[in-house]
Amino acid sequence: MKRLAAVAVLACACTKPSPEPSRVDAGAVAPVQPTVASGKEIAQHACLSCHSEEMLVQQRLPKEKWAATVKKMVGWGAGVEPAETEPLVEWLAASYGPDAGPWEPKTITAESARAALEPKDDPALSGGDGGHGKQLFAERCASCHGPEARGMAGLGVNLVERTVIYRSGDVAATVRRGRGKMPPMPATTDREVADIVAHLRTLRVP
Amino acid sequence: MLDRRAFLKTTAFGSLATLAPRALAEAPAKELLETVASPQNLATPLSWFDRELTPTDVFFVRSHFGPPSLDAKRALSIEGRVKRSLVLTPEELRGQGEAVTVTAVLQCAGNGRRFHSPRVPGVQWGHGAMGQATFTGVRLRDLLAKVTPETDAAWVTVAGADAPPRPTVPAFVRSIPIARAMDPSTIIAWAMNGEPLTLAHGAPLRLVVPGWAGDHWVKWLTHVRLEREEAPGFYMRTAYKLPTSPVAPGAAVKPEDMRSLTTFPVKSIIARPADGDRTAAGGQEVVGVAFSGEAPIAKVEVSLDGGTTWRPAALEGTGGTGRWQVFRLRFEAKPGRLTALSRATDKKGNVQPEKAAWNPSGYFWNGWHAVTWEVA
Repeated sequence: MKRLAAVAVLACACTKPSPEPSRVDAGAVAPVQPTVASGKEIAQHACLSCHSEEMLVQQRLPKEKWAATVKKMVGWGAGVEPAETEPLVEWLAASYGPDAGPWEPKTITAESARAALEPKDDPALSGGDGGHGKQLFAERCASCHGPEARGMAGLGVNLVERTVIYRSGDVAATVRRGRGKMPPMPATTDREVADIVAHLRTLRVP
Repeated sequence: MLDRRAFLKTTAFGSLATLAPRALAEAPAKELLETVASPQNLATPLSWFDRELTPTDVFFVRSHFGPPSLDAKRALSIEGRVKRSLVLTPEELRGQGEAVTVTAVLQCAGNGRRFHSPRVPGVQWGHGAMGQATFTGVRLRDLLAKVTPETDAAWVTVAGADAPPRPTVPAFVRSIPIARAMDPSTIIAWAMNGEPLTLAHGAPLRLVVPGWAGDHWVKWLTHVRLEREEAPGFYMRTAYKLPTSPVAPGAAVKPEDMRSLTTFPVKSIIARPADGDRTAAGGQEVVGVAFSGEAPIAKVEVSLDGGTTWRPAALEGTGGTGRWQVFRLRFEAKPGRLTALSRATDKKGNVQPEKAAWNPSGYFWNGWHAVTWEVA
């Protein structure tokens, strides 16, 4: 039951940018300890910027294996502060330990799998000025995503030659809502998104 | 619409037995199992493993970082320890040699990882990180002949355009020995199942290494580099390694006691019946696929008594190393619960083991597949 509550909260957090902490205690579920709850929050900002939550939820690992996995990911630039390691590992081991019960992947249509990678431009977000976008990117994005948009340790992810930059509506939603450590920037205009996207599309993997 | 399972439930099997096997194998729904949503890691449902070719749209998808954006003109360079390097667009590549088509199993090294005990970290694949397709392209050896490798070139390092999410994450780079690169079955493909590669499957170009695990079949291919040594980095020096000799489940294995995995072991998987199915009393049919990266399949046997006795299944289609064949066993059964086990043997005498060899990264699960169903 405890595990189910943790899964529900994590899954919920992925679709809602600002989960209410009180939600954890709502309903007839076992109360979640404060350290466990903070482990969950660490997972949201540190783990889910590179992969979605199924990657955590499907694991069944004892604490020492979770510790080794977190150490590997921190070595690869996951945004986990030293003091956050222990609560993160505790929460992962408590939620997705060897006895956490069965997990089955969701069934999706082949069409939706294909469509998720397809370019999809919102007309309002098209025809941007890449030159202006380059300037905006330097001012607003480069401090986390890097000057060449290739990502930075513990911060933003690579944006060069990614399918998402050909889905301008998705870019706009992420910029305005925020994601993980990325703060919401709700005032970003359609034109600014179009300009930034136009700039990003000129960049190439070396 | 009456699906196949419902059809079997409501129809006397005796009348169906007169139909051609193909007529029974109505296509399952076009669905995938979303093992990881992002980056996309999608498994093929078991029910598709009753036929020679897996349709591309339900063919499993695996990648570490997700695909790069589509660039149909993305160039491929062949460089390193060569007399002269080459940079080719996909269009130019087609003129570099005879176009050949191979039928081959593509299987992720981690397919079946979730069945290893104790569990190990990684994508927890069930049976669905595999499929068989035709791949069309040019032989890698034809391209290597054009660049003339130096005599000290021993490894071919391959890399694609799927950049890691951060510069601190190691790039996905693999190396194959030059002898395997020169094998006539190793191709650089632009088509799968007769259609241009989809983005999820590596468009515009991917490597195809029949018999070898999927980690060698690099997608979105941009670099083929001849080297004296295998590539440095996590994905060659740490990942995709197996113990050099069997280890106890859960044991820690020293790096010096590990070797890079290459060919996948002999295996068979039952597509039908599915666990929990109900069939009518009378004629029953167990169908699946069997393959080995070492040799063509010699035989598949099915046991209905927990492995005490085995019955030979019929093999269909064309055999080959790294190529699957459909197997089929028909028999009569009275009402009750039945469990079928399948066991494949390849032509080098490798026999699918009851339990797969546990290893620290959970590769190459190939234990006997068991399905249990109710005969009503």
